[in-house]
Amino acid sequence: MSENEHNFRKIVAGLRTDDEPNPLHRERLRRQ
Amino acid sequence: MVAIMAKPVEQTVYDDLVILAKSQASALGRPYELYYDRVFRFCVHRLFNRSTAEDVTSSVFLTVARTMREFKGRTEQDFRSWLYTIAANQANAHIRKTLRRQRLMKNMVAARMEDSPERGAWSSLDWPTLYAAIGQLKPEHQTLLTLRFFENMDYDEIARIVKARPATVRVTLHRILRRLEDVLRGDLGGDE
Repeated sequence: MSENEHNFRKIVAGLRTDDEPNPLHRERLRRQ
Repeated sequence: MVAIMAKPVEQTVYDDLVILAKSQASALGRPYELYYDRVFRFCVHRLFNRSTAEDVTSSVFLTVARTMREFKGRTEQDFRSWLYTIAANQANAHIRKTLRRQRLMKNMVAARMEDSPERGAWSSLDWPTLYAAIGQLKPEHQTLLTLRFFENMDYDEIARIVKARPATVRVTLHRILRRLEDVLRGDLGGDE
């Protein structure tokens, strides 16, 4: 892994991306 | 680009389920449960907005349900690659429809540079700023970056999804990271 890739991976690991799925949407879509 | 598989696909306990889901719509429930969260997260990382990500996630799984019979693969790994290909294409189609958004993101990166022009490209990056910078790349390059660094996929799996050689993916990603560094240093020249 290049140094750039290593550094970028560390940045991404520290991000807070608000990516928690919504169970209501999951269930609504499953019923479709 | 030409698809060349560097490694044979692995067999998993879900291979039979995938085969069953090709002929029985009711069998699609399990693959859906397995992959909903991953597809949603991929969409958030590609589209930023949760509501938009939910819309595209819905569209991805409705496409899967409608076209499952046409799916040519036989393993869970084939299914996963197919699913991500659909998700990547739909996310990119959405991004191309919203060019105004790209201009707003460019302003956001420029504002960061005005705040603190001397700092390094990777220093003190928050998600909105990084997303805005990624948004300056070609949509196909954004996809590669997301699959590699947010989905933590290896080059072989990414290659299957984007239908390229693993070596091409590796070299392209190297260039993308350098381009992203330039963007974060304030070089906002077009990448189209």
